[in-house]
Amino acid sequence: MSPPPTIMERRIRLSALLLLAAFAVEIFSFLWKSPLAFFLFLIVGGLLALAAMGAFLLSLVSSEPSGGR
Amino acid sequence: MDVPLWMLIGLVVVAALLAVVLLVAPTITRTTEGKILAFAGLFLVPAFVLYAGASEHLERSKSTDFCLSCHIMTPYGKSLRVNDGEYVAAAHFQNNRVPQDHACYSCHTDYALFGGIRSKLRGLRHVLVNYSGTAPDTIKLYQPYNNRECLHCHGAARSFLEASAHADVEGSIAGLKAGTTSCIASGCHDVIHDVRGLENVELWDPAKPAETAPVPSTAADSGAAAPQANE
Repeated sequence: MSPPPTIMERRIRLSALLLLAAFAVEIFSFLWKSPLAFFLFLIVGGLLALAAMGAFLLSLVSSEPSGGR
Repeated sequence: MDVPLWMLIGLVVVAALLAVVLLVAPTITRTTEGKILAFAGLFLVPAFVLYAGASEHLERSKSTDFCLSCHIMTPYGKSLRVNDGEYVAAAHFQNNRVPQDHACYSCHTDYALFGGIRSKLRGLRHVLVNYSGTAPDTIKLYQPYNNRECLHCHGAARSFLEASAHADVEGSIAGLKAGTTSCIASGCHDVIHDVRGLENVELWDPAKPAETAPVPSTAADSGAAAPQANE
């Protein structure tokens, strides 16, 4: 049985998930020919990507409550 | 940065695959190589994608189609097709003195999304105003039109420097270059878009060139045409 995921791994998973959502929004914004596409890219896609990068950076400084790796 | 759209989408797909790997197997980050992969996949590559994507969207915002996609800009788009050489914007557009697919941006380089941070914020507000339905009836520039936009092409042109209206009046060229005399508000080139008078004007239809006489070049009249223009 594999060991349970660490806090770092959980945050990496969260980061990857947010990033996938950001990429989906960004690809849609590239294909959508409307001035609103810029908003979509900047506000929705940009915030999701920044949140993903933030979650990743947070994972680097995460520590296990007890007996963490 | 000018990255082709297909390349940008390809980059996003590759970045997404990296993210999928980390989503499915986050335990790979227990090794040093895995940590490097995570740093690349969850930080470096997304940062580059954001930068490249923003560049793509900004580049797209320079297109004439982008500007004219807002309803309030329709008469300005129409003014580019007026079959009258007195209309400065039309003469430039139809004679390809400005790239037709980037016509607005060529003459309004510091307006809305095209300029610095402040202008870009204004541009974002313009998009919101367009969709919120509170656009004013009359739109105007935030600042008087800067001669710099004209002189960028015309400033060193022989046809501009030697035109009698410019050369024969002492201090005329110096005033234009210093911005103390306006190119468009001094009674010389004062018909720009004139969107209020578009109802009864003849329009140029590029699909039926024989039906409309070509717009006369303003070069002969004013000496203000760029010599490198593709006419």
